Parts: sequence; structure tokens; C-alpha cells
Amino acid sequence: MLKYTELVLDHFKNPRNLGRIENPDAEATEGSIACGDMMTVYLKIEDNRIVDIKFESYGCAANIATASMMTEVVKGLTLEEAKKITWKDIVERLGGLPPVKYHCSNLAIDTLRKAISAYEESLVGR
Amino acid sequence: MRVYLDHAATTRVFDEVAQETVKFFTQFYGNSSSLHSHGYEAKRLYEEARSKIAKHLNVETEEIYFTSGGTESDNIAIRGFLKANHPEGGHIITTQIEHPAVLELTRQLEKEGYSVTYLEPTTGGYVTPEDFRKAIRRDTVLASIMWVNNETGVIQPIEEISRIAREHGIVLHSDAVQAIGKIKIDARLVDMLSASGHKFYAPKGCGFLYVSKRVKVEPIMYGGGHERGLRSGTENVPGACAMALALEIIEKNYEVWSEKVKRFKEKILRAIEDIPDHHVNGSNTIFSHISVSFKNVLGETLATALDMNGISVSTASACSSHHGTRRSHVLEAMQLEDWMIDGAIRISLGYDNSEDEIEYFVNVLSREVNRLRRMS
Repeated sequence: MLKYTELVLDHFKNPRNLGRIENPDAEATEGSIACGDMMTVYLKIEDNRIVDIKFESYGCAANIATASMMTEVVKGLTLEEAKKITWKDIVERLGGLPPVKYHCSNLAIDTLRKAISAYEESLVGR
Repeated sequence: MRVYLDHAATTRVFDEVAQETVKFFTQFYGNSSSLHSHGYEAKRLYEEARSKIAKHLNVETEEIYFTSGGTESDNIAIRGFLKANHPEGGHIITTQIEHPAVLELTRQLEKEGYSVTYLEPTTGGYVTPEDFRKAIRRDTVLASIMWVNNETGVIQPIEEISRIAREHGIVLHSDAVQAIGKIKIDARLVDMLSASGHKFYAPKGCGFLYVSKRVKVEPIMYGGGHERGLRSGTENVPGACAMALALEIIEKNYEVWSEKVKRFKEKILRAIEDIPDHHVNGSNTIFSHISVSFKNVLGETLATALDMNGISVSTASACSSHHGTRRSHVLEAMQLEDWMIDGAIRISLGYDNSEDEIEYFVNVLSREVNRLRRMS
């Protein structure tokens, strides 16, 4: 198996904010079963601030851990702040990932950004 | 608890083999090519090992050549045969499910002008004798068909293929790395056969190649002319003797041990039956091997989860690059559904596993599959 840090394994074993939000203000799914990893992010937003976030994942341990860490990091942030979080921030927080797994941390950020965009687009339509 | 269920990757050297082998480092350390008593002593033990292995395979002593392992044996057999008999080119038949030691070599041979047919397996993971017969051309000179597949454990129909190859005068090589020490095989069914010591409780870095006396093979590496000129390099006396002893131990305990492993496999399969939405990959598999996939759980993720519980299994597919997933060429060739390919884990049992270990494993397995399924 790939060598993961203790923190990555902890997030894999006990993912934070796992599950779905009923009637979310925004949600997005990224990745595909065919490429291996797929995840969904649900957001609850009040006054441009992420007040709740949950995720579901069909992915590898690195994907689950980065998604879990990402939700911890962005919960409570404003949308503008959340958009500035990068995959590098998440990976550093986790104490690093094997290089072949960097793309998994990208997926967590991509899905978050997609969910935020979906929220912003829904506002325009209102 | 730590449980090792990856015996198809490598095995723990038998205690008795490890203890005996130490003697070759400290007591019988002579160079078996040397002309003095230290050398003679080593040479005698080395040749004894050769004849024991020959007997195990039901072939003649002079037909066994010691090598560094499976990859080298495959390379000497295939390239050495072509070099000696068909340097101008020709047609080779192999399978899509071979180990890279054969597949990468045949791809290289294609670049050098040989033509190669890669037989497609059924969804059960075996190639058929009918497909083999159909692939034969007038210029077919060699076939290389593995005895047991390393990912699925599927036993290939070597006996029937052997008959067809003989009818057509095609020389047949088999990579038997996953078969030796597990199933009783008659090496005379083929003309050349590769084996690797560390797959049957001997150390890494030793293996052997059987070449029938009827077949001419040229060396691919040059030097002091060891192994009757076929494989130069100082003789690995500890490795050779360790392999002979390991096979002897297996033969002595075979009935009891193989029955035990069969029972373990049945127990695991029963536990798998209780988990919904699974697929056991491959049919007619060897008694020590299970490849299984669970829907909505990536094999890589499950293997990591098991590893966290001290259990070592392996996975053939992994998401490892930006471009997607590195997938098992074997399961893809079997044309299984996506979830079966991405979900597969390989459980390979060994003679040294215990009842308690299997009990622990089946409990952790169902718990982790359920846990991971709740995430998606």
C-alpha cells in the first residue's frame, strides 16, 4: 500500500462531515466512476458564508482524506475565502501525500469550487 | 493482529529453509566452480539441489538451469530460443494476461520484427485451446502461455494447448511462477518452464528454468559459461539449495497443507457470499487465490482500509495519475464491468496462514466493505 501520514489515515478512518445535506443551497459532483474517483459536495450558505458542508465519496483513501480535511478547512469561511483555498493548502495540512495522489486533492478543491460556482449562478438567476 | 494474505506477491521463507540456508553463507561458502574442496563441497550440494528440483518437475537433471528468478527465466526462454532457432523472425502466440516479464518482452520483439498474437481470455479469465488453434500460422514458431494467472489465479488449459502445439511442431513455454509449489504439474507438457523461488517459500533472487533437451536455446548474457553455457554468473548455491529444500518441505506436507488452504478459501468465499453486490473474478482458480470486487468500493480503498487493520492484500488497479486510473490489464482483457475492474482485491493464501487469521480477516472484510459503502 502507499505510505500515508497518520493524519491522512485518521481522516480516512473517521471522515469529518461525511454524508449529505437535505435541501442544500448548492451541490456539485466531480470526477467519474470510469476515472476511479468521484465525489459530491453539499453546501449550506448564509450571508455568503459556508455554515455547513458535507461530502460523499467513491474514491481512494487520499481522496476521502483530502475531502474530509477540505470540509474542516472551509467550514465557516466566506465564499471569497473558500475560493482561495488551494489543493496545496489541503495537502500541507495533511502532512503531505504521495505525489501520485496529488490529483486526488485537486478533486476535492475542484468539487468545492464547482459547488460555489453553482451557488453563485443560482443567485444570478434569482 | 497482522495477517499476510499476499502470497502471490511473495512468501515468507520457511524457518527451516532460512536456517539451512545460513550454512551456505558461513560453512559451504566455496565457489562451486573452484577446483578445491571448498568448491567441490558447494558444487555437490548445488547439483543435488538441481536433481531434486528436476525430480519434483518430472524432468531430467540436465534440463534444469538456475537463474535469478521468473523474469530472467522468461527472457532466456523466449529470447534465447528465438536467437538460436529463428533469428530471422517468426510468429509467436501468447496471451493478453501474461505477466509483464513476458508481455514487455514480446512487445520489444515486435519492434525487432517478430509478429505476435495475444490471445484474448474469456470473462472467466482463461484462454481457450480453440482460440490457440485458430491463432496458429504457418510461420508460428513459439507459444508462451502462463500456467496460472497471477492476478486471478485462473489455471490455464496447458494440457490441451500442449497437445495442439505438439501437433503443429510449435515449441511451448510456460511461465509457471504462480503454479510451482502450489499445484502438481508435469513440466513435460511444455518445452520450457519458468519458476521463481520467492513464490514458494524460498528467498528472493533465485529461480530456475526448465528447458527440454530437444530444444536449443542460446544465452542472452555472456560470461564464464556457467549453467552449461546458458546462464553465466557465479552459481547461487544458497538460492538453489533453498529452492530444493522448500519444494521438498511442500511435497512432504502437501496433502495436509493444501487441504487447510482450500478450507480457508471456502470460508472466505462463504463470508463474501454474505456481502451483497460482489463479484468473484475468474473461474477454475487455484486453491490459494481469490480475486473479488465489491460494488461501490474501490479495490485500492478497501486494500488501504484492510492494511490499517494489519491485513495485507493486493490490488491490481489503482488511481495513480492525473490521467485516471492504472487498471489491471488482466481484468480489462477479461472485459469485466468497470466496477469489477476498479473494485478488485486479490487475496492469496499461504501454507503458513492460520484459522484465527482467516476468522479475523473475514470479520474485518465485511465490516470495512460496509463502512466504505456508507461513504458513497
